[in-house]
Amino acid sequence: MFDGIVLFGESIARFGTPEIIFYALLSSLVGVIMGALPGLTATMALALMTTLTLKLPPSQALLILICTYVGSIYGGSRSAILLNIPGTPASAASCLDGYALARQGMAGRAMGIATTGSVLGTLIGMFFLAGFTPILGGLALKFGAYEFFWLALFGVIIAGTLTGDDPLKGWIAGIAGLFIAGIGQEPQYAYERFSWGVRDLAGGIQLVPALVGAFGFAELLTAMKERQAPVKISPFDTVIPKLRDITKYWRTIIRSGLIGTGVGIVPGVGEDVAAWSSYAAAKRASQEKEQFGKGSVEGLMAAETGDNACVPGAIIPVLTLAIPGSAPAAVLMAAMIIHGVKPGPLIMVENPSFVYDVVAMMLFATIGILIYGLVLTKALVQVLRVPQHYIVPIIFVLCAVGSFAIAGRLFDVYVMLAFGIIGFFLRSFGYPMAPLVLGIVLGDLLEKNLRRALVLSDGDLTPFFTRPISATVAALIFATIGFKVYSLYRQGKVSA
Amino acid sequence: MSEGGKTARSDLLGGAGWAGFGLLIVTEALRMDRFTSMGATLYTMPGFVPGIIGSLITLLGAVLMLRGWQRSRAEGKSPDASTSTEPVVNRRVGFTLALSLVYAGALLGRAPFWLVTGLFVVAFTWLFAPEGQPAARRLVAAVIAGIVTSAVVTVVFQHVFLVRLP
Repeated sequence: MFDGIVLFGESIARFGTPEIIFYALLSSLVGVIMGALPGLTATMALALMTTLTLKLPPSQALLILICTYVGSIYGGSRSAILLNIPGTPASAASCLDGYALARQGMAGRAMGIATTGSVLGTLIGMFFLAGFTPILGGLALKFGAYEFFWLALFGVIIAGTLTGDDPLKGWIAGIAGLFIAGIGQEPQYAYERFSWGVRDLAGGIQLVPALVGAFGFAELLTAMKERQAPVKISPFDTVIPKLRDITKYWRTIIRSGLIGTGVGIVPGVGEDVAAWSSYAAAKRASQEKEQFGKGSVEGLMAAETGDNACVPGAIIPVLTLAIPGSAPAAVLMAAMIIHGVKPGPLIMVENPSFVYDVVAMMLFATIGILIYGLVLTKALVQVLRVPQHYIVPIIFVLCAVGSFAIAGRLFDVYVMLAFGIIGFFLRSFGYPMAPLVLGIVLGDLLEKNLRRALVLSDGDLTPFFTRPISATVAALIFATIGFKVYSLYRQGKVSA
Repeated sequence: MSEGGKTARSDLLGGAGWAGFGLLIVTEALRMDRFTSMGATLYTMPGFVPGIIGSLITLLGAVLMLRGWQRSRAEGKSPDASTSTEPVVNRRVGFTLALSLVYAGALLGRAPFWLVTGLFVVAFTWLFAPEGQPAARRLVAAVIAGIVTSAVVTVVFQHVFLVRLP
């Protein structure tokens, strides 16, 4: 405990230079703007920023990415409140009460509540990130190949179950992601799989260009499908939060922070589920249930606290298990690996200060969103007036250049294009993107550990189901699948 | 039935597509070198995991196909009956796709970056500008957007982020 506080203090001192503070504020601003613009998500912002920060020292690059992450999740609330369009999927729950408040002439108050909720949510998540990571890291040291195999599969299955409307399509997307991860030389004999003589494919599909395509280009195509309606921003009053809103709803804030962090820790779920879960829990516990959906301060506070608390929560499994808690966290994990940081069970042994560096980075990001939320809101919302036909080509140019920047080869630009087109069609037919990404990220971990486990047990499947942690995760997977299959069967019978 | 591309028919065809794709993976996995001469066992063979993944995709694709068929039967329509949904690729998406593919797929890396980027932004901005705008204003705005984007991206990437451009 005391060691942790010392390490955190050292991290704050190390990052407290004018240059780092400038980077933190600038990247938080970029995140807020990208999050606020409908059609640009946190995952896309992170994928693009990963390509832009390749040449920076690791600590600065990761600081920029974490500040962008926090900023973009917060930024989504601006358009949710002012336009009734969630800037990111994480802010969809904020539309319900945020826009209702704006229509009642309280847009400023709603943005103040969103700022309060986001800041407090991030702080609650940070507390658990600092406190829980060493504990989970210690536990993860006991994990073997069997546990890691199940955990990787758990991430894909849970993401497939919870991130879309149709679990069956979610599972297909996740398993397709596992297939994509297997393209290129396999780990044991360096045998080229599914490369069909294409030299560039032998090295496999690079994660970042694939993500830029699936979340960048595909989102642009989706955004371009409809002509942008003229933007009408609701006029707003003061955005300074009221202390009364915090004291009155402190239980909601703490509950939503806990739910958000907890949802973040579950592999592959993410901020939108955190926001909706927090919102639903707040509604169930509220004494003003009838206000929900009609401009409830409590509802907006719950949604915003939940989605921002999910950000530090989603980083906990990244650091301790090398399994991302959400799609943006998957990009962050890829960036960590690119910059030479090895997330996983050994992080608390090999590089314990890094965990507290991440907490310090998160604190800078929180300060950034607080400043922008209180001071720059009026100026920032003007970004929402920029027409779509100016933004889309610029973002696409960044997608192309960013993909090329990773390794300096045009093949990655073609990968971005291919994944953008595939992602657009999959999305149009109801396949969620988060499980696909999780599949690509976790494919290597799943394959290596499955083969390792089978070699260790000489082909015996019993240890997969008899080791305590392994059996627990396996039971969770089968229960999730069984429950969903049963629900789908019941739905089918009712509709028939 | 749901809107957009999420119809019973799209499930049926999508399921068939996935099942076929899964079978293709399984076939390819079976054709892979087995390295038995180097002591490989079943689970260390290169095709082992892709084979499992291919089988799962085939299974889930078949389930999706079956569900699509059941839904279309429940709706009292034959699977090939046309459904009243808007197309997945409309004119706007088609133009965006065409411009993006020409820019990133054909021109990038084969002509100066600043030039192709400027032209892409001009073409895109001009094409998607609001229809009511006067032609001259539309063109001037598009050219300014193209020049500014090309200059800023070139300078920022090369000199601030130290990234080599295509």
